[in-house]
Amino acid sequence: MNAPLLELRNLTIRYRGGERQVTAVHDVSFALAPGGALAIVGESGSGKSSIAGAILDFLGPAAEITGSILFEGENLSALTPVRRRGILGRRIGAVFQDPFTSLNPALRVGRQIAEPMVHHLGLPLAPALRRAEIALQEMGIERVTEVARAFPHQLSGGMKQRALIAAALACQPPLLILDEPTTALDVTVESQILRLLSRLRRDKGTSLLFISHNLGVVRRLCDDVAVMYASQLVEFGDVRRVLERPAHPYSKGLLASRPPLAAATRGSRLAAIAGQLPTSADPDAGCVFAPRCPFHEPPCSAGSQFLTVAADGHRVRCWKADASGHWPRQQVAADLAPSFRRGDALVNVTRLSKTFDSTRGLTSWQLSLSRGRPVLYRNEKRLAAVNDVTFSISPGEVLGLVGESGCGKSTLGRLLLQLLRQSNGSVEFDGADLAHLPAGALSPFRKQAQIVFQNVGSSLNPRLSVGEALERPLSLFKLAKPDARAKRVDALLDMVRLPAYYRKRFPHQLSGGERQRVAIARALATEPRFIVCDEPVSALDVSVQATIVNLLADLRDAFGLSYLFISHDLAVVAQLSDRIAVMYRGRICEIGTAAEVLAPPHHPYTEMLLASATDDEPVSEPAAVTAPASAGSGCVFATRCQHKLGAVCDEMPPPLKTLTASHAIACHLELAPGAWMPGFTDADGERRQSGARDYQPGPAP
Amino acid sequence: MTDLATIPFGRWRRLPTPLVVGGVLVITLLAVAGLAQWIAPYPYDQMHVRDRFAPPGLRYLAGTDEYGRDVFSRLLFGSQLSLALGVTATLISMGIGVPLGLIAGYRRGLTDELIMRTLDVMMAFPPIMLVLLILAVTPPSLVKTSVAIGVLAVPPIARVTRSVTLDLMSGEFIEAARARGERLRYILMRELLPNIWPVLMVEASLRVVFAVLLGAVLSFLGFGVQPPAADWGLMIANGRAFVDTAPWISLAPGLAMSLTVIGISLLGDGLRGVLDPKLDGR
Repeated sequence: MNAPLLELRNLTIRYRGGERQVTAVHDVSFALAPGGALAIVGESGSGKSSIAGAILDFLGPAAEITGSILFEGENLSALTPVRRRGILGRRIGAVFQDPFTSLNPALRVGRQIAEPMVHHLGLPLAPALRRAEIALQEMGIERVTEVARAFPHQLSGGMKQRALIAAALACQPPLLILDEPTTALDVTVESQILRLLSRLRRDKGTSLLFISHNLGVVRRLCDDVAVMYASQLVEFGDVRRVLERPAHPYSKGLLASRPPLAAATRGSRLAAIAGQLPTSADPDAGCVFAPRCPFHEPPCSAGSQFLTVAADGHRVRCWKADASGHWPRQQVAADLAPSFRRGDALVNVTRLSKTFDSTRGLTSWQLSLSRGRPVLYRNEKRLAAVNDVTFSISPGEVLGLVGESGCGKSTLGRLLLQLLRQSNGSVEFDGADLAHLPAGALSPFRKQAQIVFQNVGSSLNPRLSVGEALERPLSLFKLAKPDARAKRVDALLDMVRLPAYYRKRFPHQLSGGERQRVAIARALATEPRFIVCDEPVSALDVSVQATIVNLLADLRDAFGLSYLFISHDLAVVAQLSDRIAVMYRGRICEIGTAAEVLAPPHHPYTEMLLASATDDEPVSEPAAVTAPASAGSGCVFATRCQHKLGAVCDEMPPPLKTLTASHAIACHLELAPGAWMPGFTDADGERRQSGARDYQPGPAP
Repeated sequence: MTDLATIPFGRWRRLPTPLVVGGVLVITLLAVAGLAQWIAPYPYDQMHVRDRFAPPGLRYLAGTDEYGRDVFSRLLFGSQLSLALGVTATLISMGIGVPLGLIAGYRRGLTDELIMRTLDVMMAFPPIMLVLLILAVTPPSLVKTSVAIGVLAVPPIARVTRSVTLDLMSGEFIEAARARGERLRYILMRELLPNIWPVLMVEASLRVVFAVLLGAVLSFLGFGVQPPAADWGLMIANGRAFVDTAPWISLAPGLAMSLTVIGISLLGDGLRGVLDPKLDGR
């Protein structure tokens, strides 16, 4: 075997902060072969990004790094800063999570790709810019000259990430470090970026160090995977071996808590890992995972756990890895039939539209010169965020709403709650037309319809304690007498499974999952019948996501709640929803029960979403990812559609075809089941999914 | 991850140095202003004709001026005027500026444009000219000086408030409050204002400093406090003529003013660090 390209030997990273010292990475060793691809997987706080930071030397003076980082045989941490800078960018490229902030907004994209070539290779600017265009072309971007001359804000997220990868690869480094490069992107874009990366690896022999919390992504791209938990390496081995037969209980839990891409019954719950990541684990005092481990036995806490190495190089830090069985599924309630009745809709949306109109306000007036004379004109910009949407939600029913970012799903959620007023159409709640109510008369409706947000960082007022935040709805709607409020707050905290003493805490003292629980409790405080869940789990780690999804399912069943569950993740939506609506550019293109939407026939866009989520059959999408919606009256998806029939798609609005009583698709195509989708043949809803090959948690007890 | 149990105490246990220094200076200043009547060795306007231009010494701690008045006593009494001016002016500008900024940032659109463009017009005038104009055409008084200086500082306060409000408006907790049907007053006062407070503390301390300085400038020019009142600006102006023979007459009030300015600035900065929960542990 060749000498490894990158090797970590007993890497330990500690952060000194005042009197306290936090160990972010504890004694981690692994090697990455030239041309190989290694993934580091773990939840936030597990130390995976600190490893990238140590290699790239941006942890700052507060970090104390021991052990060695060998790159091409040289110990990076022993090098002088000048020599190190020579290696970074030249021999090691890096791409980070957020393409939206990683590019300098004031410089043209081409210039930013050319910069490392000028700096490291000593090229003059002009040839470097030409090479930047070639690099962009290699990233699968068309119209490279235009893109190279564009400023970052003119590009979509996927384009920016491609440009960043091009910049990282500008000097053709043998190693590319990617820190959650696709987390901020849509699934369809993510799958394109992943395909790009695996092509680069194949064609250029670039090694990848890929940091992610998403196991599905890792499987598509990497050879080896290192699973990290609370600063320790708990499992290391071949990616297929680890994902199909995980040995460490944490790996098992992580895999089991991933929702399968299949319609779920009302009684089903995701497997979840109880508890949360310890804030300061001491590896010498026993296994760090023991408090959350279902296979826990007294010897686990007796002393530190060691990595055992199997013959095939597979390493596990668990003494009873061979003996422990499947990760137990969450206790499943009796398989409840949906408790709602059709016909008497709770929320009734009819031909709802919302157009954002930037022609209001003084700033829309612009001054320019026309034939030498000043002209004052109005810059008219209209965006139809929600366009002619019709659906209904029955009491106790969960409607999932899926679509990429910018498709108008959040706008739709806010329209239902009248946080935004519609431009057209109507929203009825419990028989009352909200459109014609003045804002002051909405109070009874506000009590019954609540919202849970995505951004756990800003959904709670940082100045209010948990108790104050939960008491406010009680006093506002006079739901409890002042002396009974504290008791009610305790009950609410109990509903979201938080201990009562959390009442005194402030948001910054809570973890992401805990904040989301408080936000859910705040929504529950008014005793609503309907909750809009706007991407409530997409900012959370997989295992936390599973517990929140389970919590929402429990609350749904306990109180007969209706949700509009908005997410970009089809698997999460399928887990919770009775019906699913798929939205694209302001229009609903498919709606049906969860099983119907996940099984063929699909709308071409649903098909693309499903394929991106599984990536079994690489979708060769027309490259015009950023193509604007067709200006005409035709189908909004026509520019990206693989099954486009021709002019009819551009010119005629697609008819809404009703397949069954509950299933409708807006498309010009003939919708015979299985007619145009080779491969998607299973009709029973258990569609061929990548998860089926992976680790499956044990049967329900 | 932070150790949760230690936060409430850890925040106060080790106070930042600027807060301590600023606090000591400001408390001293307040004490001096409050107790001037009792601790001043002489009344501020008592003339010691035989001791004109006496250098600093045991009898006159900071020397005497051209009329033989004790500079130290005048300093003590002058602090009352400076502080009163600074605090009143700042209260006035905060009282007008903060609500305007909050409403502009919350409502956006036409309201925002109307408020902010009007304030822009105000900012277009050179501040000293504006105050001088007001004071020149009417007889000078302390109240009027405070109001003039206070109104001048409304645009910057409103702008700061508005920018922080705009930033906070992207927070989903505001949307959650609207989804509960909260009234405007509650959202502005209970959800937004507490989060703007730390920034306003710093801004307010800066405004007090500016007001004190501007007040001194006005007195120096003869438009502020009228003689024989003891005012630092006035004292500097009077001492100007004797700078080469009796520098203490101008130097002492100048020094006092510097300490005041430094103290208030440090206090504002230090308070923000302690009050903002998000800055904790950084």
